[in-house]
Amino acid sequence: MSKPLIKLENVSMVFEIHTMFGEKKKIKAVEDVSLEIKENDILALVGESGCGKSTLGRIMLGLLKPTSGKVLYYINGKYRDIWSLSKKEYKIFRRHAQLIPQNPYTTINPMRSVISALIPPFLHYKIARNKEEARKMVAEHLKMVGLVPPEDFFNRYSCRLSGGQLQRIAIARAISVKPKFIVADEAVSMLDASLRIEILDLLLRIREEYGLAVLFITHDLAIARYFARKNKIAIMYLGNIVEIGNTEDIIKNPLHPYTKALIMSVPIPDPDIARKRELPKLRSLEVPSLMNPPSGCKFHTRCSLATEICEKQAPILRNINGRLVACHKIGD
Amino acid sequence: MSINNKERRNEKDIILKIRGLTIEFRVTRGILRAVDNVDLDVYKGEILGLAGESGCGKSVLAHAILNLVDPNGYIKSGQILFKQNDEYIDILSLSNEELRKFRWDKISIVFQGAMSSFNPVIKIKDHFIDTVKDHESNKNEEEIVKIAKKLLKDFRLDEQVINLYPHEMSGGMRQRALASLSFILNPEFIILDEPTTALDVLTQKFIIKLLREIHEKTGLTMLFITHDLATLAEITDRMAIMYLGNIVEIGTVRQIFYDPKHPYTKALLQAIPSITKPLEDLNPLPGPVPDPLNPPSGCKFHPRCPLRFKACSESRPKLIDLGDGHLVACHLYKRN
Repeated sequence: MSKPLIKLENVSMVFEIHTMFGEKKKIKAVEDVSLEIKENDILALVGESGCGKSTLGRIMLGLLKPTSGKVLYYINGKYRDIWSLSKKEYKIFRRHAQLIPQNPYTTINPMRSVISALIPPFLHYKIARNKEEARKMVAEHLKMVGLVPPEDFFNRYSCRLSGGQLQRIAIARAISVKPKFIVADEAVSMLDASLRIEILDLLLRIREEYGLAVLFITHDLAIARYFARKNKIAIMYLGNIVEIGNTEDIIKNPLHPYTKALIMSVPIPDPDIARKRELPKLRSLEVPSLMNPPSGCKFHTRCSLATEICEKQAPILRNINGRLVACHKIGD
Repeated sequence: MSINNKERRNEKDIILKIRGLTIEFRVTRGILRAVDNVDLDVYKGEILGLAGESGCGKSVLAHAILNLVDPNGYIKSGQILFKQNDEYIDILSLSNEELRKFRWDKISIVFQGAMSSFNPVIKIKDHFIDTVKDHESNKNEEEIVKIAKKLLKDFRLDEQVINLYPHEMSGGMRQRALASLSFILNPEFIILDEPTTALDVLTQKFIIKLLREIHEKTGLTMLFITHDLATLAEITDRMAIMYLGNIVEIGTVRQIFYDPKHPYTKALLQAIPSITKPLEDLNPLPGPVPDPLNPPSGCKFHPRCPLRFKACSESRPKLIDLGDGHLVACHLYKRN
C-alpha cells in the first residue's frame, strides 16, 4: 500500500477583494478542505466554474498560501508543511510538484522557440550538465510525447504549433524535471473533441511510466471518468468537497444531491438515452454568490431534500459505505 | 420526448436552401476557405444541428445566413434562399435596408457570448423596445414590455428581470434573456450559435430542455450550432456534420448516432467520452488536423481516414443520398 504523497489538512482560502466602490469583500474560495493523494495515484477533482477547484490545485502546488490549514508534503522521510520548508527542501518540492495548465496557447512564451523554452529547466535543476546534453534531453522528451522527429520542433514558435502539439509540449516540460506530483488543470478542455482522448491517453501512459501522482482538475465528468477510471473522484461545490469516492461508484450511484444533479445533467451522446433522462429536481437554478454564500450546507438553496438542519449546520464529510459524503440527509 | 421520425423529405417544406456557398477570408498567410461549396436544406419546423470541431466553418456558415461575414471575409459564390409566400428570395441579393428589416423579423440569431450581445449600459427592457422599434417604429412601448415579459416568463425568468442591467444577471439568466429577445419579433427561423457552451452543466441541461419544449409548442425552425455532439443528441431532429468547410454527412439524429456512414463521423463519435459508454469503446481520432490554408486534395479527410483508397486523394466526393434522407460525401458509397 503506497503512502500519501501530499495531504491537505483543513485548508481554507479567503481572497480579499476591493469592489468598485472601495468596499472590502471577502470571498471564501476554498473552505475547510482535507484530502490526500497517494504516491502514483490519481484524484479527479470535478466541479463547475467558480467552485474553487483551480484555487485548490494552486494551493497544492504551493503557488497560493492558504489562509488557514496545512499542505503537507512527504519529503526526506516525513510530512512537512510546504510553507515552512528550508530553502533546500523547498527547491526539491518545487521540482517535484509541476503544473499542466489549461490554455496551451499561453503556456509557452510566444517570443521563444520550443528548444529555448525547454532547455532552462534541465540546466536549472542540474539534470543536464551542459547545453548539449540538455538538447539531447529535450529531443528525448519531445519524442516521448509523440512530437517526431523532435528536431523539426526545436526552432518553432508557439504560433506555428497547433493546440494539441502545444499541450504535448506542456506535458513534456512538466515531466522534464522528474516530478512526483502533477496538477493538470483542465488540461484538455481547450482542445477539440477529437484530440482529447489522444492527449489523455498520452498523459495516462506517461503517468504510469513515471509513477506520478496527479490531481486532475476538470468540469467534465465524462473526462474525469475516463482519466480516473481506476481511481477516485472528488466533487466540489462552492469551496467545499461534497463527495469523494471510487470513480465508477460515483458515476453509477451518486449519493450527494449535488452530485446526483450533476450526473443527471451531463449530456449523453446517445439520443435514445438522452431523451429519456429527467431534469434534476432543484429548488433553484441560480448558483449563489461566493461573496454571500448560503448558511449551513451551501447547496441547501437548490437542494430538493433540504430541511431546517441544512440551513443551520454545515455538514461534514462522513463515511457512508466506503464513500465520503457531506450531507445531513444521506445515510440515516 | 420522442425522437422525431416523421417523414420530412418533402421538397415543399424546405424553408432555407443553401446552394454552392463558398466563403473565404483574407488572412496574413493567404486565403482561407472557411466554407467550401456547401449545399444544405433546412425543413420548416425542424431543429437541425450543425456540428463540427473548432475551425470547421460551422459558425461562419450560420452567420452567413444573415449575411454576417467578418470584414476580412467575403462570400465568394452561392445562394441562400429563404422561402417567403411560396417563393424563394436570395438573402444575399437583398439591399442593406431590406436586409436590416429581414434580420430578426424573419431570422434571428442567439450568439455564444450573452454578455457581449447585450449593451451593458441599458436595461433589458430597452433592448426589447429598441429592437421592436427598429422594425415597427409606431409600436406602443407598453405593449412591447407586455410581450417581452411573457417571453421572459416562457424562459422561466421573473418578470422583474426586465428592469435589470445585463451585469446584474447570472450567465444562465443572461443567456435565457437573450434567447427571449430573439423571439420578440416572432421570427420564422432562429439560429442558435453555441447557446449553452459557456454555461454550467445544470443550467445547460435546463436550457436545452426549455428550447425543446418551446420548439414543440411553437413549431419554430431552429438551426443549432455546437461542437458538442452530446448536446445535439438531446435536442435535434436532424444533424449535419462539417469537416474543414465541407458538410460530410447529413441525417436524422438516430441515423448519425446509430448508423454513421462517413469515416469522420464514425471516428468523432468514438472519440467523445461519455458517462454511460464503456471506456473500451473510445478511440482517439488518428492524425493531426490539416492546415486549413493548405487543405488536402480530394476528400479533405483522406490523410486521417483508415479506409482511404486511390480515388480519395484525387477527387472530392459529393454529397449523395443513401435513401431515407441520409446523405454522405464519401467515395465508399454509391448513389442509391
